[in-house]
Amino acid sequence: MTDDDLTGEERDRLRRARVDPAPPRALEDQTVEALRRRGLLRRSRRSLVAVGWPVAAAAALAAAVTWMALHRSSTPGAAATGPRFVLLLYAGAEPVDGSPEARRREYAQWARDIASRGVSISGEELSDDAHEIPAATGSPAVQAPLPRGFFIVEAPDLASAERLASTCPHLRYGGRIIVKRILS
Amino acid sequence: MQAPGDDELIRRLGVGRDEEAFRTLYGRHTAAVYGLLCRLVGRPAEASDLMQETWLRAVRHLSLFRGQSAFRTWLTGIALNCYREWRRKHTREIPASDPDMRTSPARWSDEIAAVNQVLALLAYEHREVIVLHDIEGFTHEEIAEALEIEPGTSKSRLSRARRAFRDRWQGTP
Repeated sequence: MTDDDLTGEERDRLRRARVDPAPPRALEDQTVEALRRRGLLRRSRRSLVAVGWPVAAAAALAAAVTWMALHRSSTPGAAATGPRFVLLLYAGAEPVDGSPEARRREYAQWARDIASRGVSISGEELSDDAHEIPAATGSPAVQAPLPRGFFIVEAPDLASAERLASTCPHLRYGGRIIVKRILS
Repeated sequence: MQAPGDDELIRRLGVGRDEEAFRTLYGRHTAAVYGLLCRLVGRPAEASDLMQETWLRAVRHLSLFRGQSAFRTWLTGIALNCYREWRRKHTREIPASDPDMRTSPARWSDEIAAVNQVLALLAYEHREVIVLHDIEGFTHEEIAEALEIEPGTSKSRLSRARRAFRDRWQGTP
């Protein structure tokens, strides 16, 4: 054996080093987004944002406790000055596997990633229970699904806000997002 | 229901630009290729950029994939092209690994962390032949093709690289 040959121990040590670290979680969505911008991917149905989603049964909504503790995330000193949009997050119809805490961390990390790019973003998780205050006119109550949380983001236009929403981990858990411009 | 094979996903991606097909392929193949890039580049942030560029090129040129090799092999070839271009731009840099890669116990067991630490201290031309030959199991002919060098150059570099690795390893506490 020459000095250049590996000993058996060295060979084994190097082979054992073939352990693949997990890619950053945001990389997948960033890559999808880059492919979309180049026209190489079509937006999938799960990331389409539209009004008129079928109303999920209240029981299914209750079972589909999905998500997040949302820390307010924004770049320090980056006050929102452009158009703002609210991303309303609705639970999907199917129960979601895994721990809510892990999902909360994932949502918070997503928001931090966005904030790190200089985009103003904040948001909150909403509780399961809701109380309706009846109209003073006596109009009947409107049965509508209730959002489970929201983000407020700054974006140049609706299309940009939709693109940003399409990277939200909420969609991967079967949830739906409705994007609306804030008028003020 | 059986998961669709790579061929079916590639067809859906190529014909319909199907995002779900892409995400499935991404989930199957990214970790291995990203791991290789991390070992070659030594810095996870730059490995991420190269990984994204790899996928962009792969999807853009998907019609060139003829199925003569496994999709992972084809993707790895693209990743190595990206790495080679990156490496040309960084020839004069002194290799410096990401501190996270060297020290994060969550991601690396002690021995693996030590190996990566030593690899990160080697010159790129040494590191890449050790990674490709001794860790990934490439032949000298495959390394020659990947790095655009002669097989003989790969062999001589590997000899020097192993000596350098051993010297550094023995100097590791």
